[in-house]
Amino acid sequence: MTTMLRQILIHARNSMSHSLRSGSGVVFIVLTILAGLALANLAFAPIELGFIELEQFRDNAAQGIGVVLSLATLQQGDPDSIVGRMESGELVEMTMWARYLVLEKPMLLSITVLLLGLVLPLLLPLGTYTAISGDVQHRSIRYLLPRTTRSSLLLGRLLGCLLLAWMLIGALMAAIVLYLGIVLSLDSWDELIPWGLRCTGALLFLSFPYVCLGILCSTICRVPLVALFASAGVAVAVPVIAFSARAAWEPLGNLLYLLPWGYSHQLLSPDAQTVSMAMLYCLGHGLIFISIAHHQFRKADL
Amino acid sequence: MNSSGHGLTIRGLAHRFGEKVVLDGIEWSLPNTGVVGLVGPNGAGKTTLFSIIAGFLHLQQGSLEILDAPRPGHPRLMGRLAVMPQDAIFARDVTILDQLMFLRSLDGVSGRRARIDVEEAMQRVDLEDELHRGAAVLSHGMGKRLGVAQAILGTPELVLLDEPTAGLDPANARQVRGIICELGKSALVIVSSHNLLELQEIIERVAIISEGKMVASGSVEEVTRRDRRFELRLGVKITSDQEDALRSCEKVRHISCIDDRLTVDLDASSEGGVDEALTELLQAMLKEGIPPRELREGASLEEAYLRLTGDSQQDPADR
Repeated sequence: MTTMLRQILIHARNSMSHSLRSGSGVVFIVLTILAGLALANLAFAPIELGFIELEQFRDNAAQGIGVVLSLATLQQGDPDSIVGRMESGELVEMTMWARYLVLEKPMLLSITVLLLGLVLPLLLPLGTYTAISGDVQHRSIRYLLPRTTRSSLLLGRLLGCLLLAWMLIGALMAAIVLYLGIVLSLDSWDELIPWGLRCTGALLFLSFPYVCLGILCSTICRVPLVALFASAGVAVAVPVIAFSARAAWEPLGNLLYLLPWGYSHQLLSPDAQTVSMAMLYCLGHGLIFISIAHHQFRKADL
Repeated sequence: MNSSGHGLTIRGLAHRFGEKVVLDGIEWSLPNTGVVGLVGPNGAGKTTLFSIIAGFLHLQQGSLEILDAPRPGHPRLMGRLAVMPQDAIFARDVTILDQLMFLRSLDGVSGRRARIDVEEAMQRVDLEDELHRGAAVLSHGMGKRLGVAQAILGTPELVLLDEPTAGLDPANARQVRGIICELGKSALVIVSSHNLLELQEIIERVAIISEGKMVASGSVEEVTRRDRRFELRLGVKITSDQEDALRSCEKVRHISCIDDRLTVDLDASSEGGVDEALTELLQAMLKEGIPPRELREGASLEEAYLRLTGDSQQDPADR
């Protein structure tokens, strides 16, 4: 057990240091930082550049977030009808939830994190697609297998990818919170720091199943680019198919739960129990993906 | 050492890729130390056998005991089995030192000790100057030697080398052969190669594999007993009548003559073995008035290989 743990840590460290030096790793790091900052800029710009009054922006944001939450929770109707139902008080829970995010918590941080939650599933595969498939394609895995168990290798690579993703998310969130606190100063540090920590935690949990999905695709697909397109493709295809299929038959909308799309927003719920459940779902989802990957990798001919 | 006292014991091994049977009924027992050759035509199943022993491919049928582990890929084998695969490549953008230090750290050795081991291994293959460079700058031959270096890192007990000298210049090939012989004193080294002359110099045992079946295995002496080739340099050019007279000797299986060089394959399967066959040949030569100026043992392994694998049409003496 000690040997296995030691080897997992060695693989994790090697995976991280390799990411910092390899082309694909650097692309992942740069793109994630750039995309994160671009999304933050998208959220901050209307206020920062004075395009809109703060109160009006808050109202619009509350309405927009309410629509997104309603769609994510598979409420019936198109966005226009959802707005109508929210105004008539029918979707009171969604309205309250949206107001919690923009009125009770630092609004710009909430919006940025919601946007990041939409984009991260597409960025994370960049950090995982070569994790296993890269070594399989170049057969360098044959140098490793006489010295390590397949389980240690897989779990070590998972840990390495996860730690790198978490470090990037942490750095990104720290930069955004610092910018909001120092440059924009719309919210006090007392509000920004706890909410920033909570949002960072939400993103860390959200990243777990997507990193596991990336490792699964990297295990199944022997060609790195195929693994990349598979994991990014699945992340995009699930909501697209779920919403399209739902139009034909309502229950098919539940396909959204094949990935965390169906519950990821709950990580920012005002209700602590809902948040806990969403965290457990994320862990469970990730564990399912990594169990399948482990099974595949153990019986694969390499 | 496994329960049967051997370094490697294979029983009833069979493997297929889809419908194609690539290994069938392989039985093989090898001691704990020594250099063993694994030869066979392309596609005979050598690399598949290596891959199964190394744990790259899953065991489909049969059993393998490797050292004291009951199956390939067993955690007990970690760090004790080393492989030089034929087609694996090192990362191009990471220094060789880092890559070998990483491999050594998986064996549980790190820091200064690991660095010493890595430098030692690289010195043995004459690549110590490349330690701080990436694998991208290495030539094919240097890449091969790097593969050998990673296989001899530490103290492996079973080493599998797939075509270790292919593409090496004569000096480096000789160096690698020296390393293999040295390794064979303390470990079981299995070498796959198509260069039978070279292989014959370093191995004590050999297995010949053809179309997925092991057609012969044992000591080189046992396997080549029937097929002993001798090359003789003559003082004169022999006539066709003299050649026919030599060919009519009971123990001469095949004879060919180019200029003053005579190549003779002897049948050494009788009780008197090679000595009796050679005596008969030399007596016949002296009787015909053809005194040999030089006599040396030739590629008898190659002859056995060609006979056992049915590739005799490739016999260079016939060409």
